[in-house]
Amino acid sequence: MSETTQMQSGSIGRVPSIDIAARELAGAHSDDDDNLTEIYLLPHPTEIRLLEVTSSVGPTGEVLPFRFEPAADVPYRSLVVQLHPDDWARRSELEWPVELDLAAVRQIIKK
Amino acid sequence: MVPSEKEWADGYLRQAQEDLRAASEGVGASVRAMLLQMAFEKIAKAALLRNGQWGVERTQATHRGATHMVNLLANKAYASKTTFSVGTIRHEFLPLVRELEELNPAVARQSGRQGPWLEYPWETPEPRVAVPCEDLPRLDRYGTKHAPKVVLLLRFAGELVRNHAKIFG
Repeated sequence: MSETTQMQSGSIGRVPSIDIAARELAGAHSDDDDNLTEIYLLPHPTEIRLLEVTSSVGPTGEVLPFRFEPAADVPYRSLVVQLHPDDWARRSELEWPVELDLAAVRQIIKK
Repeated sequence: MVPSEKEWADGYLRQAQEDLRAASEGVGASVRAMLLQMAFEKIAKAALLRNGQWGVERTQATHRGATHMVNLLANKAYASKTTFSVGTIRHEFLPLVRELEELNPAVARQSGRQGPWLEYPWETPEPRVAVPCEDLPRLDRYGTKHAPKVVLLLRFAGELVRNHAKIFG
């Protein structure tokens, strides 16, 4: 996967592509949450979008997306939806924001 | 002109700040627990509103965002935006926020429970009427504003309010 080079704070810094940054962020989330079983990538041109299946959150029947600003190790904004495995199993019955297209998801982590 | 999602988010944060101020005063344990629950719910609603995926009406209807928000903050990249460690957020704050969220009467009813919960009386199996200030389980943890967990949780919530835009955009 290609990487882009850009000027940051007066020095040349290598910024990973969104795809690489997304995989790194997913790996970090997987390390931090023992109850996380699957992570999917929702491709987007300007931000990381992840869908995570974890029993650390309850089965709510709701899709609750949270967006985070870039951080030291995450050079892009990231939008993350966490679903309990029961909700993931009935995902087609849930109401999804129009911007989150389930048909486009790619699994990137399965424990 | 209809208020924007950002204006609604700012409104939720201003009221969350007031909830936290009140929770820092000499109120009873059940009221402090309720105020903490309400503050975290509002901080989560403000974050949901900021990202623009759901509109105001949909966001107002959910009472479930706090656990999702704190579980996500219990990851290195996001925890680094606070002064707390992943371990503290995951092992100290997340269980409390989850417990408080489950004690929201609307959430409890959605889960098929008839109590115990915050804010309102409920009927016990005996049957008798129970009230939060007398019957809420493990209420002692919220009994004093100086209790270590309460102090930390108030500090954490205060940071989320003050740094909301830096964390959630």
